[in-house]
Amino acid sequence: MIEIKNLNFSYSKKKPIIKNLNLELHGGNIYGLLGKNGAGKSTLLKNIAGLLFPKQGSVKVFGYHAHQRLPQVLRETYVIPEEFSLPSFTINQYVDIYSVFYPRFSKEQFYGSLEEFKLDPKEKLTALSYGQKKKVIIGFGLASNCNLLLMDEPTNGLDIPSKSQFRKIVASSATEERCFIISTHQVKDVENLIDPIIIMDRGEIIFHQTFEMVSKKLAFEVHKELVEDDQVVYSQSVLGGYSVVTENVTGMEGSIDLEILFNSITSSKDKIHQIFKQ
Amino acid sequence: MTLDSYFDIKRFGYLLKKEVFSNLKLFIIALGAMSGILLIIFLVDIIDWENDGYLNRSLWNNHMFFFIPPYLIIGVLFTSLAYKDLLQVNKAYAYLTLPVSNFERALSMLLMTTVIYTIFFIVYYMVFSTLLNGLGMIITAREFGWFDVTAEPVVMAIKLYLVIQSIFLLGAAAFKKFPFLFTLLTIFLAAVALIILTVTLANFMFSEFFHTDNRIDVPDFISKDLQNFIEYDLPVILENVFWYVLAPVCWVITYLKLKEREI
Repeated sequence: MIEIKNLNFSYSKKKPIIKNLNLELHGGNIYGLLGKNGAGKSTLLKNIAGLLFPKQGSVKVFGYHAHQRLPQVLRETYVIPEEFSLPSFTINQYVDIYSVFYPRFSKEQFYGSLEEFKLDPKEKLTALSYGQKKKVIIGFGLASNCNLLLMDEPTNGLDIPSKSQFRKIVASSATEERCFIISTHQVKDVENLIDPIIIMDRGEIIFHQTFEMVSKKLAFEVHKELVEDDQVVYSQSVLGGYSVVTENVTGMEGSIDLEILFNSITSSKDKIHQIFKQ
Repeated sequence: MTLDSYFDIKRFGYLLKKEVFSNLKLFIIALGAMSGILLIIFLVDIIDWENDGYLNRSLWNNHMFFFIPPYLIIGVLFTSLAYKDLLQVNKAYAYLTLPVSNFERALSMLLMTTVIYTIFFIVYYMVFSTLLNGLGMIITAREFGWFDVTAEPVVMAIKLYLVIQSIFLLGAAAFKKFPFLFTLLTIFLAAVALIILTVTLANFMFSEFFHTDNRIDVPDFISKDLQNFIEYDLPVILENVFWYVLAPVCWVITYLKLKEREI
């Protein structure tokens, strides 16, 4: 679905944002694109959406160069940006005017999401709070039934109950054909939703694995005392002790703490690489 | 890539509907403001009626003063805002990822700022001036001239607007901030540059042939044919370029600018 080859992108010659990035993404997955602020996540999403053009290399979506912004690609792509502005229509008017551009748009699905988020379709978009507006475009994007959904920090601005509603409606909208990419630095919000995990750091992909592979290779434990062991990849103090990541030598698959995984990858990149190479 | 990649009539219809809905408020605000100004001028004019002043004799009877300047000014202002969604990153996302082609994006705004705007403005002006004329007749018991859309100055104004709007449409697609002001500035700088270039070249090449008493000696290297061409044909060519070439060129560049637009 998405094929990125040797992508280089920078706003100025001195400071590259994305460096020689190669990536292939397929339908049937909810990719979690994680990384610190400034890692290049949003820039990568913009390149995929055709909103920024590669300085070198290529980004192909559904077989076409993304920068061409062809209608046949755009009607299968929906972008939920972090910051957005909506026209002064009511939700109903917005749906009537914009849904026609998406051939598989489901009004039933959209109004179902609104109900889930407790929003009145007669309300004017400009009268809604940032979080409520975000719910409208999340609902719209999912109901568009586009095969590619790009979400940049989708949970920003959502209250706590809405975050779990978000996870619920995203999970229920996923199909074998659809590819969701959720870019976030709030890893807790997308726990149990994303798979595979892609981690970016300073314009490069430093990790790209499925949950299954992570639980096969790494073990996440909590110890009362800090253990000194060669197999310890990463440890950090948590309430009541230390959260420790070790190489999984038992072969038993356990649960994954996404936040600890993220921290261990960003701080012990080489050790993690060694483990996954084996 | 198929033809559908560039143009699809159904999709284009949806886009046009979206643009009309999105711009309706802006249109109505501009025309409301203009109506207020015209009404004030009209009432001042009525007060001055007894003196049979300049306003009521010449302005309300041929409408040109009230139709042409507002039509041109509101038109270029509206055109400068044609791609207002591109001025803000928050809005540009939705605009550039809307499933339409770049050609349709360019064409929709070309139609909006030319045909649709002109029809809308003429209909508005006909209705508004008729109402004002009726009001004027009631107050003064005198006949006012009705607005004639086929009058030569009106047709000329529409023709002129099409050329001017093409420059402002290009400015709307090219500038990332204050498109109206930057377009005006660009036109001004281009005009100044052209004048300086022409004067410098003329001075450099022909200074010895100019005399202080406004007499010009035609240099030997300029043949009679060339002289006739410069004197008679060139102005006609330049005039035709202005009326018939400038606008299409600007529209094509507008499309190319939209195609390469990033956020």
